[in-house]
Amino acid sequence: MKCEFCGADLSLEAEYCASCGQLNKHAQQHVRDMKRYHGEFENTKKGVYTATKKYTQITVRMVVIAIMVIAIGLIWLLYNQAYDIRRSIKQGAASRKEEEYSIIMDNYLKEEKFREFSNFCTQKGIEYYYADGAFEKFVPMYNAVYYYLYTLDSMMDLVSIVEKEEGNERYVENVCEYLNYFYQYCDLENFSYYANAKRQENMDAIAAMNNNIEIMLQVYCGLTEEEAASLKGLSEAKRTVLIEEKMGNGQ
Amino acid sequence: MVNKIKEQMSDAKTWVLNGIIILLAIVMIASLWMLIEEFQYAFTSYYNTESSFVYAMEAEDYGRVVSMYHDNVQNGYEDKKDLQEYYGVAKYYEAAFLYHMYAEVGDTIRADIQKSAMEEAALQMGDFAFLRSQIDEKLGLK
Repeated sequence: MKCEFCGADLSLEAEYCASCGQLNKHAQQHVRDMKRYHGEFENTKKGVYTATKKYTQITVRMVVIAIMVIAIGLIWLLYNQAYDIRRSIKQGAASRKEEEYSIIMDNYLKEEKFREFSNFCTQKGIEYYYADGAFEKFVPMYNAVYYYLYTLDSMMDLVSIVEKEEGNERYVENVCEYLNYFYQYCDLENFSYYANAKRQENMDAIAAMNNNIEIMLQVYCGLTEEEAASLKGLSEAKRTVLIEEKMGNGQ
Repeated sequence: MVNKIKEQMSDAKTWVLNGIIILLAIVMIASLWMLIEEFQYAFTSYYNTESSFVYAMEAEDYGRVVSMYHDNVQNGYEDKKDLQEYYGVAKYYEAAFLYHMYAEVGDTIRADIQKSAMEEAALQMGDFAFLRSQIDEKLGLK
């Protein structure tokens, strides 16, 4: 730019003209402008920092909340799966010893040690709904043995209670209920889907349990031998009525 | 004025989010606690204690004693020293129950097996040996 007084060359930063010594008004204006621009820049920068900081604070919090919600969801998922996880671990261990456990279970059935069979299955996690491989042939036996033992236990309950009160009907109902389930699971036709379900060992075990149940009904419920033998062929309702009648007559 | 309102709203949002975080932290801690308890229940077997056996025997509910014994065996507590006498009572009652069954129908082989089991269980009954006669009477055994 040129000095307005002498026309010499002037830079914007020069406060006075080097040639004539006059005050450079443009330089003053420039300094004022630069101060103003600097102030505006600092204000804008401060504003951006503040806005970014607030935005970051909110964003970070939102991310933390999202992570915590996911973590809580995972915790609840694990909570609901706790028993399934335990079952999987046990079943995994049982699968690795299929042959060995299979022999043990067969021996229990052959020796009519049904309580030991049931305990073994529970302890090793060999369960009805998840049986496969070498355990598939035992599928009909799990629930048959389970309800056989429940029938036996409920009869032991009934026999041991102190007084025959009105509330004792519950014990008779228990016996009938478990007996109904036992007969249901004794029918190997229901398990024809499973490999070797109708094998001789299973049929022998079921015959033994049936025999014990018939004896129990004769001795503790007062049924005749014929009545006990024909009980399986009756409907659930008739079965219950017969047992309740016999138990009532015995009181 | 507008900027001030905007600033105040922004502070309010932060406070609300802080509150939500604190709430979620409490829920997470409680959930973790429940998860640990659930896994403890799932992976630990519980057993029927002496007081449960005493209660059942006082009520002469020997069927219940037998069930509790088998529950304990199933859960791996067959060897608990302080419960052996109660187990003896359970085994005796069960053996006597079965003995009576087989004896009544003339199955002497099975009856003899249960008779041996009764004698063996009687030895395990210890201080509860006096209950033999009560159980025999209950089952109609001579």
